[in-house]
Amino acid sequence: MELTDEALLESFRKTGNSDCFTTLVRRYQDRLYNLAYRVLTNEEEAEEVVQDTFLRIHEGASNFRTSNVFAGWLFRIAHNACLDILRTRQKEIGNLSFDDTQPIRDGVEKTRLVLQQIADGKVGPEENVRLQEQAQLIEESLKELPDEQRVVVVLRDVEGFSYEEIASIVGSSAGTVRSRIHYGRLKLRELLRSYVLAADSAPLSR
Amino acid sequence: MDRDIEIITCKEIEPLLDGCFDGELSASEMHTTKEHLGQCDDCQAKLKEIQSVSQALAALPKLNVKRDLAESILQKAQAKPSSEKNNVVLFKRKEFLAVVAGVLLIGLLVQFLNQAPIKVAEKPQEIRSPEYLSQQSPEQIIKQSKPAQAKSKPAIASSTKDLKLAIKSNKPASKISPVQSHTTVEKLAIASRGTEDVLAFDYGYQPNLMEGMGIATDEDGLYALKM
Repeated sequence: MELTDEALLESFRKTGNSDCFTTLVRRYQDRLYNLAYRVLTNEEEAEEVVQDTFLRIHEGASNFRTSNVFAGWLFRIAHNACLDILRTRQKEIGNLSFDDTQPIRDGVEKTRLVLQQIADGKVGPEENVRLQEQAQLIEESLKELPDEQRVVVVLRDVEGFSYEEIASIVGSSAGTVRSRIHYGRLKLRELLRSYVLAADSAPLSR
Repeated sequence: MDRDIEIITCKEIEPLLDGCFDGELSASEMHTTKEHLGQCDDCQAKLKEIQSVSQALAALPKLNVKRDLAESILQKAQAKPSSEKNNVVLFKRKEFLAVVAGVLLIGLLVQFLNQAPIKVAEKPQEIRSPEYLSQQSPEQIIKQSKPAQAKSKPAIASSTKDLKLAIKSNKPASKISPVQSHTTVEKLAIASRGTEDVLAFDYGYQPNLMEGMGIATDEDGLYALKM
């Protein structure tokens, strides 16, 4: 029988058995990497987030309360690690560029052009290519969201957390989470509308 | 249905559509939203868009780490406590040094306070009755009192009472006027003898000390007490 996350952490905390810890790492490293990559869109930084998160888990194992959910704690730490990187990025961008909005406006325009091409049928008809394009478009669109909206949308639609769980992870109220999800998806709908409407007869695969 | 009312209702409902799709509305909100959706094609279309976007996000390819990070994380984690341990020791050493420095500082302070110029007379002046003095000539009185003065330096706080006063008022004993410490008998002796001898009787003859105590000498070499 497979031990729960909380049982593994408890065992690691009491016995210092490193197998319990590595089991937890292997259980969550891909999910954390996936989240971090969707938020940061950078492979190296995503891997860095995974490592930092588990290092903090290792250090703070004794602080974990068994009444809490391990995954919530884990993703909260990962979220904070992502925010640290985003803040550093913001500072660097602020130091380098006088017009911070230009890259975003360029990205939106690029996405619109690609969406229009797909809607017009100018992209290859093969299903495989379409799915790849779809993934690329959604990723590009996701990048256009403000950080706080992108995080909650990914946590909800990619990771499948409830609003309450997301609120706990990002440290805000469930009402704020609901609002951010609404505005995040609203923007995605605007960016992807032509594609979604074009593919209306053939719904996007899950 | 009135068109204006429908628009307002759609605006009110739209923020709830995401919650409706996610099943995150309260019972009353869900009821209101479903009731509206049953009558509004626009909101149904919006709900469908939400569904499509959400499904598209969920369909994004799952990314995996390029290598298993478990072992490398464990190695880093196990390496970290040792460096932290050193830091803790270093911190404790710093604490220890701080405590030692504090103790030394307190010791110096105590030593400094102990060096305050409080000098205690080795032996209080012997008080003699007027009857006794009247039987003795001034020369005898001086002769008897000088050896005691020679042993001890001039009594600044010349009686136990003065010393207690100095300690109680936290005031150096030297600040207490030597004149105040004279007994009535001594004052009588001062009045009955030449100035220099009487001073010798009381303090021993030390000119520099006399000036320090508020005793001045005039051109004729006579001493005068500043009372």
